[in-house]
Amino acid sequence: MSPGPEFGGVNPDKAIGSQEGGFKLAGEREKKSRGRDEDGEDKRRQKRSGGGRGKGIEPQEELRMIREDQERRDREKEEQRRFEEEHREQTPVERGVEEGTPLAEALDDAARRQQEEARAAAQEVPETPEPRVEGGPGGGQDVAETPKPEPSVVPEQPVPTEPPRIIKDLSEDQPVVRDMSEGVDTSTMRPFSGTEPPQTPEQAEPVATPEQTLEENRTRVHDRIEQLQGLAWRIQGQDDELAELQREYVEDLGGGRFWETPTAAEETGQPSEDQKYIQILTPLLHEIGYSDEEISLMSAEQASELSGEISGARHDLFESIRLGDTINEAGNAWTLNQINLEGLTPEQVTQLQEKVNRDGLRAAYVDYPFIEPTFKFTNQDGVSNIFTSSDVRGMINSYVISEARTIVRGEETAAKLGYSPEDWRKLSFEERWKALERAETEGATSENADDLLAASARDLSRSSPLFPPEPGTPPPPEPPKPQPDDEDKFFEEQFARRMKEAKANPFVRGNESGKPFQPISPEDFIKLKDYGDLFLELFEKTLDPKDPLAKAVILFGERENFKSVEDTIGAIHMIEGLKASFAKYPEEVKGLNEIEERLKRSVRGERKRSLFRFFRQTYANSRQERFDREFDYRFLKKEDKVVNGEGLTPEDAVKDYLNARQTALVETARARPARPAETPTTAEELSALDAIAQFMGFEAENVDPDKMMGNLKKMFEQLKVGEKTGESFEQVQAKANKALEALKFVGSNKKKIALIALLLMLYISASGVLGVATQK
Amino acid sequence: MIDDLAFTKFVFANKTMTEEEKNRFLEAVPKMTDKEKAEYILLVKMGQMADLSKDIGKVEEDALFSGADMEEAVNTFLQAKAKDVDESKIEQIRARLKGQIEASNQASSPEPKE
Repeated sequence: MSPGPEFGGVNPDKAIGSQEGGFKLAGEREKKSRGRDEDGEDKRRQKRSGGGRGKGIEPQEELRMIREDQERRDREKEEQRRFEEEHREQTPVERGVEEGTPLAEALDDAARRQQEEARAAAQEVPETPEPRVEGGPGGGQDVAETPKPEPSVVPEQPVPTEPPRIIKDLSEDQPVVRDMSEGVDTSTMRPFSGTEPPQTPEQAEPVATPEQTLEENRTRVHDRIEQLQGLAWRIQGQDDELAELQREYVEDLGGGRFWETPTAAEETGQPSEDQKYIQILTPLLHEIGYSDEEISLMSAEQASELSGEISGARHDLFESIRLGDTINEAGNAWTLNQINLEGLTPEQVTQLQEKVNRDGLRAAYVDYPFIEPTFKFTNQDGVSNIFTSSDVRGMINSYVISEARTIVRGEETAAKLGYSPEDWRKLSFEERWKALERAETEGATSENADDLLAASARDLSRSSPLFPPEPGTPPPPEPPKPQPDDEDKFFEEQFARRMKEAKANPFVRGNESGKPFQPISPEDFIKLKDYGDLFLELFEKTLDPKDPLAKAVILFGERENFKSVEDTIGAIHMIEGLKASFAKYPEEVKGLNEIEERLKRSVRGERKRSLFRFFRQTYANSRQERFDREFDYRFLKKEDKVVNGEGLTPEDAVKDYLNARQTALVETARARPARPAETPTTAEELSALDAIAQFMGFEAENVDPDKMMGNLKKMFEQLKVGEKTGESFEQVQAKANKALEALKFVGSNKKKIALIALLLMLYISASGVLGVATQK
Repeated sequence: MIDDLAFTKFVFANKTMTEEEKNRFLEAVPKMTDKEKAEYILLVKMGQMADLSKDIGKVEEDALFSGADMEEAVNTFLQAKAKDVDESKIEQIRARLKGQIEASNQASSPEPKE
């Protein structure tokens, strides 16, 4: 089964936004049509849809693109900032333009001010070399600061009370200024001619003619207007580009689901055909997890895709997930397409890639919980779409629910074949499940699923004592005799062994609260397992077999299978969905209730308080553990002990190191002819030794990590270090302080002790500890 | 001067070694300096710390399986471990070091090696 070509896909024709992209600006760059070609196709998506990660954009490439985009935007911002800085002093014309003043008025305003300035200049001094020109980059003077001439000195000038008229018939010698910006054509304008200041020969000599000045200013104003408009358009272009990027981002994340809004129904007030269709699909969409609000934003086509095609896609999805989220695996429909690499260094990206390739996405996701992986689905028609991990999980949920419903629906199919619901109901869930499984194995499609299911039901009926054989059919073969449930036995034994072992631990026999132990009884465990089988079967068929949830139901308490509280909560949600599907069957609901209650109890900590703590601790420490490994790596790599790479625990690595060091000491001593002369011990060195002795007596201090840290700090302060490694005391101390600082993030005493041991080891490694401490 | 015999006893009591390792160790002891012995002791103690860390993990897991409070179980374990420590020996070491420090402080020049 495979989803249709339109599965969650993006119809380029319906994508919002200009595919041409941007604006063509006068005097400005053309807006780049980022990510889309002339046909409006998303280049990035085309590239990604090349099949698998190997053919798509590599993380480094993606990172480079993001970085280039960012740099480009930064450059433009800087350019804009510089521009604005240079032109911080707005002229009245600029203000007028920004305030929407007509250009003619703005020009007139400028001319009037220029005339006033010219008049003032004429009155002031003949020796004024240049007339004052307002505006312009860095030049001129604000009009408000222009000294106003005395009325008694300045002759009255006619002040226009109306906006200047634009005279269209320009004289031939009138220079034409053509506004290069769109929508503004000043070629038919001429300078305002009614406000020229009185000209005298004396005045005309030192200053430019009013016409020249006006023309000069007008050109300048036009330039400024052009610049401003260019700036505005550029900003607009950036906004548009940003919007386009946002759309692409949404497409990448969500597969383009929600950006079509029905409008016909809103206009007519009557539900359209599409809306009626959506109404029919609404229950299923609810079941999948979409809210009414989200559904209201869907087109009928999208609703159909989501409700119908998911049923086809889920199988492929399940297969891919079950296979462990591997990438570039031939035949896998789902591949890891992209992860959110924000915040990762290139080295981390490389490490992540290696981790994914080596251990699979799920393992990588544990190590890098902050990444948001997306999966690319390519159907048989080559149409691709991208989903986030949340989408995938939601679809897995819907898959579980839907399959459960399918099993229930089998009852209807059985009824069609003549079996009563009661008879069908008497089949075990497992039998019904197997019927479904068989149907799927034989290649069920949406067309023949019912037929196959019916055939499976008939097969079951032939072997079931509940259904009489059809006349003329040979007697069914003897059903295999029930074998001892080895699995049950195994789990029972395993549980008993582990319980016995745990109870034998003298340190967990009691607690200060005096509450009696309430371990899971074997009966409870088996009972749980009975229902767990059903649950587990569903999980194992839908999730990675290594999924902690699947194991959690059976191996309740096996620590490595519990990853997080979220997983447990997810299980509870999933059970709630199952309960809805099995609402008609109280017995199964009861079982599910029991499982749910147990999980809830474990989360609430009512009974398995410590288990919950462990969940929480594990979850909270997931990053910490990663840090620990890096920490180990950093401090052990000197000795080529790559803890993480070799799968060693920090304790193992420490022991390895210590043993190697001890061996080296022994072998060095053995190799020498005799014991060398002791170097005298100084008071300072003995003080350091004393600190070490105190440190080594930490047990007597009841394992107080804070005190241990204090001792450790004291050691670092007292000992001379670095003389052998070439590192200065400050260098080693800085390293130590950094490590000590890191201890703040360590939650448990256990971790602190381990890290302190590592620190001490670092110290030995860096300085030779006693060797340096006791040598002059 | 760390006594060779005392040092050997300490190491054998605190570190698991094969027969071959013991032989090599015994061969080395007479040639080891005090500093080397001190470092060796430190390394042995650190190995015990690593073991302790692993033991704590085991206690945590056992508490998980038995339904006991994990934190309390770990504390109980650590308290019991603390009781195992021979504090008198630690005090002896401290006293001896203290005496050496005082002697060193009083000495105007380093004491010659015996």
